[in-house]
Amino acid sequence: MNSQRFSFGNWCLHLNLQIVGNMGSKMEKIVEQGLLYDFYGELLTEHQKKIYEDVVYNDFSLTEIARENGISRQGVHDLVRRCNHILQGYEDKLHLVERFLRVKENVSRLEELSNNPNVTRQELVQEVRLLSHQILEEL
Amino acid sequence: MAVKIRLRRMGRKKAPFYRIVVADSRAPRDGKVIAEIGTYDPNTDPSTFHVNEELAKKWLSNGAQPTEVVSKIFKHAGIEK
Repeated sequence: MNSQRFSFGNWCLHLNLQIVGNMGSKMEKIVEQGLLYDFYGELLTEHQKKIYEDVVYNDFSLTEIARENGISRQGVHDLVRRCNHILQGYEDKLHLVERFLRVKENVSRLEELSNNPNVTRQELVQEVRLLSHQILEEL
Repeated sequence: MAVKIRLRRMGRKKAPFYRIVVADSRAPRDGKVIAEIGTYDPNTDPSTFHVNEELAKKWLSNGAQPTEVVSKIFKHAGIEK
C-alpha cells in the first residue's frame, strides 16, 4: 500500500513538472529540412550528407560543425545553403514530400473516422471511398 | 564548459521525433548527452512538445545556451531564465 502511494505521489510530481503545449501548424525549418533530406538526401555527396545531417538531425550550430570538420564557418554556411537549394530543387520537380504529407493527412482523417463512434456506417463508407480515391490519386 | 540545449532527432525516416537534450558543445559528435529535458513531436497537428520546466530553468540559469528552435519551444512553453 505504501509503495503504491509513493509511486502515485511521484507520478503527480512528474506531471506537475511537465509543460505540455503546441507550436502551431507551421512546420519548423529544421523539420522541413529533415523531411527533404529523408526523401532526397541520398542524392547529395558523402561530404554534403555528413554536414547536412549535423544541421538537421543533431541541431548543431555552424560554428560547431566548422570546428569539428576543420573548415570555416562561412564554408559550412555556403554548403548548407547549397544543399537546401539542391534539395528544394528536387522537391520542386518531384513533389514527393508534398504528396507524402497529403497522403499522411488523408490517412489520419481515416483513422479519426474509424475512432469516431458518432459516424454512421453509411457516412463511414462514403468518406472511406472518397479518401481512398484521393490517396490513390497521389500515388 | 560550454553547454548547449538542442534537439536530437529520433524516430525513423519520414516520421521525425525529437528529444530536447543538454549536451557539451565542445564534443558534439560523441553523442553523449548530459540530460534529457523534453520532447518535440512535429507529427501531430499542431506539433506538440513536453518540457520539464524545472530542469529547463535549472540548465538555463547554469548558462546553457538553447539553439534557435529550442528557444522557440521554450518561448511557447513560457520558460525564461
